[in-house]
Amino acid sequence: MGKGTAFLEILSSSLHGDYKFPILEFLAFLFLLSSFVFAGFGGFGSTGVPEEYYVFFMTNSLMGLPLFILAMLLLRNIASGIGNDIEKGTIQTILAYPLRRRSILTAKLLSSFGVAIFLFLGIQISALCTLAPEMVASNLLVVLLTYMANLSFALFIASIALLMTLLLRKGSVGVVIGIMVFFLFSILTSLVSFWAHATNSILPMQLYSLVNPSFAINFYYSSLQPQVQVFWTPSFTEALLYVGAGYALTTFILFLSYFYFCRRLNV
Amino acid sequence: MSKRWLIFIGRVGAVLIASGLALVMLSLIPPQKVENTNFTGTSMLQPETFSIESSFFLSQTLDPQRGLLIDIQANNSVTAYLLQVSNDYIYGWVASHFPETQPYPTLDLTILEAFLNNHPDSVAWQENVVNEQFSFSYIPTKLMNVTLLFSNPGAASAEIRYSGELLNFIVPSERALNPTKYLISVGFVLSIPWMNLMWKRRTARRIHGCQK
Repeated sequence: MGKGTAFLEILSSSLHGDYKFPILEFLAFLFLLSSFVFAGFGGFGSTGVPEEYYVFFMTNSLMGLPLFILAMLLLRNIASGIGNDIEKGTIQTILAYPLRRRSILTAKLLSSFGVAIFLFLGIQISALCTLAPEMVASNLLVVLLTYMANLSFALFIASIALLMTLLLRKGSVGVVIGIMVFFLFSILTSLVSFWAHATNSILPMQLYSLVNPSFAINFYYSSLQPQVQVFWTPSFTEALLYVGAGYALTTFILFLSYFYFCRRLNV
Repeated sequence: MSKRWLIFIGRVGAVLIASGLALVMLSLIPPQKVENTNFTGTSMLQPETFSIESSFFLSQTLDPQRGLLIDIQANNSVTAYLLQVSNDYIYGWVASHFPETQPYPTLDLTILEAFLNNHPDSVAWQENVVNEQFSFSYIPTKLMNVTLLFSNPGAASAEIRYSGELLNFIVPSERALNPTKYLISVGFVLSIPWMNLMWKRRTARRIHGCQK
C-alpha cells in the first residue's frame, strides 16, 4: 500500500466516523438557516460611518451561535475521533499503516477540523454573497479578517482539547477541558473590559486579544464610527498583529500535540 | 470510479441538496411589513418638470434585508425613478450647480437630466407609468439611501399618487431562487450514483437477511 493510499484510507475512515450520514447534511442545513436568520446590518442612517464597519457588523452578526456550534463540533470530533481511537486501542491498527505518525495525525485533523471549518466558511460566505454581493465584493478583506479572528479562538480551544486528549488519553476529558476553557474565556470577555475600565489601562485588553483576536478586531471596527467613543482604539496593523499572535499560539499548541503524538505517545 | 470517491461525491451532493432545501424554506417565508412605516403622497407635475418626494420612511437607509414596496398611480404618462442617493444630496447638488433655481418642490427637467448625466450609476430603478396603477418592490444589495423622483416629460400636466411601506426579509425570494436551482440540481446529479449504491447495499442486505 502506497503512502498516498494509506493517507486517504485513514482520512476516509475518519470522515466516516466524524460525519455519519446525515450529520454533515443537517449541519449544512442549520448553518445556512442561521446565516440568513442571524444576519444584521447594524444602525440605520448613521452618517460618516464607513462601509467597512457595516460589513464587519454584518459578518460578525452571522457568527454568534454558529461559531459556538462549530467549536463544539470540533471538540466532539476530537473526542469521537482520536480520543476514541486511543481509548479503545484502535490507534494501534492505524499506527500499523505505512505512514509517519505526523501524517496520521494530519489525516485525522483534516477530517476533524478541516471539513467542519470548510463547511462553516463555505456556507457563511456564500450566504453573505447571496444577501449583499456588492458589500462583500468591495470589502472582501474585512470579511476574511473577521472570520480569521473569530476562527482563531475556536481553533485555539480545539487545539487545547486535542493536546489534553493526547496527554490524558481520554477524549471525554479533553472535551470537558475544552468546554471549560471556552466558558472561561467567554466570562473573561466581560471581566477584561471591566478590569480595563477600573484600572484605566488597556493592557488587560491587549493581553486577552492575544488569545481571542476578535476582541481587538471588534474594537478596531467599532472605533470607525465617528460618533462612538471607544475605550481602546487599536490601529489596523495592531489588530492584524493580534490575529497573527492568535494563530501563532494555536500553531504552537498544535506543534506540541504533534510532538507528543509523534515522539511521546506510547500505545 | 472507486466506491470511496462515489461516496465522497455523493455526500457533497447531499450537502448541496440540504443547503438548497434550507434556502427553499427561507424563501417561502413572506416579507414582513415594518409596522408604522406607511407613507403616502401626491404630486402635481407641470410639463417638463420633476419632483423629489420627501417622506421620513423614504429617507430611511435600506439594506439587503430591508426593502421598499411602492404603489404609484398617475393620470398621465410619467417616469418614476428610485435613485441610490439621499434627497439631501440631490438638493445639495442642485443648489450648488443651479444656484438660481428655487421653485421647489418641482424643478425643471433639464436639471434632472444634468444630475443623471453626472451620476449615471445612481439609478437603482426606473419605470414609465402610463395611466395606470403600478406596484413594485425594491431590495438593495448594499446599504443605501434612496430617493423617489417623478418626472413628467410630456406636454400635459400629470397628477401622481403614491403610497408605500418598508418590508423586512430574511432572504428575498428572487435572490434565493437562482442559488437554490443550482444547489438542488447539481446536488441531485452528484448524489444519484451514491444513492444508487446505498439502495443496492440495502437491497443486498435485505436479501441476505431473508436467506438466513
